[in-house]
Amino acid sequence: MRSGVDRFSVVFQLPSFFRSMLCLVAMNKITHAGLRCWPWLAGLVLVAGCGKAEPPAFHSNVVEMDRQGISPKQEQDIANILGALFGTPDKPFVLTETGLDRKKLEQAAGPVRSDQFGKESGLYRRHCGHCHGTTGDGLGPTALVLNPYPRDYRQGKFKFKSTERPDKPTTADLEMILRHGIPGTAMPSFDLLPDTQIQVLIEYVKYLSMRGETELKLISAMADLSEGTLEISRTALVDEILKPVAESWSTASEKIVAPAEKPSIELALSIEKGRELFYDTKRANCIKCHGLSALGDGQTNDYDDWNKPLHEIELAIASERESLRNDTEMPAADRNERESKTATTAAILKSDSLPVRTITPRNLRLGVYRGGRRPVDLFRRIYAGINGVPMPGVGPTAPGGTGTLSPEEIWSLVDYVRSLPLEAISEPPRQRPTAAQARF
Amino acid sequence: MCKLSKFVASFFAVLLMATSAHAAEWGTLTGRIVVDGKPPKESPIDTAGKDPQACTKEKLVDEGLLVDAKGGLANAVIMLKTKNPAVNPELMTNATGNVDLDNKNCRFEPHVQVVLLTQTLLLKNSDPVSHNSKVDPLNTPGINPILPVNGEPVQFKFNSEEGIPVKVGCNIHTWMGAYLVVRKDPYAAVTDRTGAFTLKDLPAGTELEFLFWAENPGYLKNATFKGGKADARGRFKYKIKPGTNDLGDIKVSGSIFKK
Repeated sequence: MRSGVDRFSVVFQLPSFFRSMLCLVAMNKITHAGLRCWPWLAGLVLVAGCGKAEPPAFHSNVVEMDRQGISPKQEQDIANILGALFGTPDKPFVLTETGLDRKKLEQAAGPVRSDQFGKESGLYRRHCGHCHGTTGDGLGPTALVLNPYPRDYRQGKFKFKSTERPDKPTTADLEMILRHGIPGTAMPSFDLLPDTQIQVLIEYVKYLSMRGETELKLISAMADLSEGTLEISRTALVDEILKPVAESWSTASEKIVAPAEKPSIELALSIEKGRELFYDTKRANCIKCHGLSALGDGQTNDYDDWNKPLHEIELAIASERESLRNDTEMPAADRNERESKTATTAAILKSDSLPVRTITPRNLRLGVYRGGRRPVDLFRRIYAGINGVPMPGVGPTAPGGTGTLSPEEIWSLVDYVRSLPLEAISEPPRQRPTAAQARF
Repeated sequence: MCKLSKFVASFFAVLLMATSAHAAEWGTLTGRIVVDGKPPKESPIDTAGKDPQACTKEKLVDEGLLVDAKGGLANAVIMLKTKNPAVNPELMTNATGNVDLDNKNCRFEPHVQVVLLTQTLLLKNSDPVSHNSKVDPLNTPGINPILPVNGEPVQFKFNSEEGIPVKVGCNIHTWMGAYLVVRKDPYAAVTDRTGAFTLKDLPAGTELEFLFWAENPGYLKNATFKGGKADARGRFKYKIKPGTNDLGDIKVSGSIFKK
């Protein structure tokens, strides 16, 4: 809802930079109550409109665009297509093909606000945006200081879910994450929110993920063209690009991993079987990443699917700079072009991504399980693997197939993993109690 | 009447032969991709501390940049980018079999290969330790199975073409990588140890667009050959003549490779 102040600002059309500076000056002066000129400044602010900022916009996936050699014109075309398919952060729009509920999206989107009946809106920006970012790219203002980084939804990959490895999470999976948070990370529980608000936020997460994945597919389709731009038609854009993304969400509930019932076997025996599998370098081979001591100190120099492309770009930049330094015979025009390209890529990486991190295999002695601590959660992690990270699956790659381990063996591994935090070695080193006076 | 029908039959037979002769105008494209300038040295892979029973059986080198003494670049790819080309049916007679990707001595064999949508990829493990094969294509839901010792091969089929080759990685042995050129038509080839390639039976007579690609550095930009040059994205257009079309040595500047 526009205020009267906003209408004034539209009339005056002051350049936004000047307006912001004026606002800053005015607010600074007003806080120094001794200044006599504040009513004058406040008047100026009133006509200039402090509240009038550019509406937030979705941010293009410029790192991927640069990686795939998308031209500025093509970038604009992709932004226009996405605008037509998904609207803006203040005014979301979706086609019926997405299966998304526009009413819910409207309540999640836009600035934080409430109506006369107390219905709260702008829920994404209120609860999620500061970490996950307006675009759902995991680049919110607080992301840099978090470890692990907040999820970037744009790849359409989710780690903790009940479905097969490549499939999307179900609504219930996202609800579990929202209600319980993710232990061991900065993702808190939102269980105190009313159920309607939880559902609204889930819908918006799906929306941002669909938008981001559609963008990735548009970038690849654009990069694959010989020349020019993508054909603007319902078949090319909706049927071939948007629909498969939307269908991967609507069919998620058909892809749930339903474990065979846990066999009734003595726990100690099951744990022993699980231990053997954990150390078996010919089969499950868990020790390679989780380490001989299960502290997560095995393979520690690998990357997840979000960081790996960034790491490769970093390597390419370093290599190109070395070539430019060492190749003294490079023609000047060639050198200038390559220097400029490298500088652009480095600048994009700096402004549109977080410092690259390696992926840490889980320390299994802590008893902290990000995807849920129930036996069924651990079964699904081991059976399907974890999407987006190195963790492989030991179950079949297609339903009905034969996996590396049988369901009984996976249950034994679950029992063993659940026993690890309870082993004596998992306890912190105990100190002999010392009499208080002896410490001084 | 009989004479007339014989005449009609022979007329149609001649017509049919002429039509099939026209459709059978296929041309083969050959060439050798070479690195111009001083060839980079083989870069050995350090496997210290990793499954010596499997990973020290042969000297492992970075197969993303293998250049022979004459500058020939191995494991590079040439692929047709023109959509929906006419395809010689003879090329598709063996297009439904299996394509093997083996894990042997802690490397993938072969390093780069073409997989058709009609074929099934078989992920195998011939090593005495387990591997995993992480395949995450853009247009087909991915897999990341553990491949146990003496296990059954894991089957995988692609649903749709991929614009650039798809990486297969092993996260247990992080140096291991292979690439799959996923195609609907059979018009892609991988260079051999000398950098040579043969793309058989391309439709002759129309201008086609091709792409040069290699794991390192990606697009083989500005590759030059007799009578032509690839652009900044490694693409060039070429009209195939019936018979053999030899591009000769396709020179790629040594400075575009990552160190």
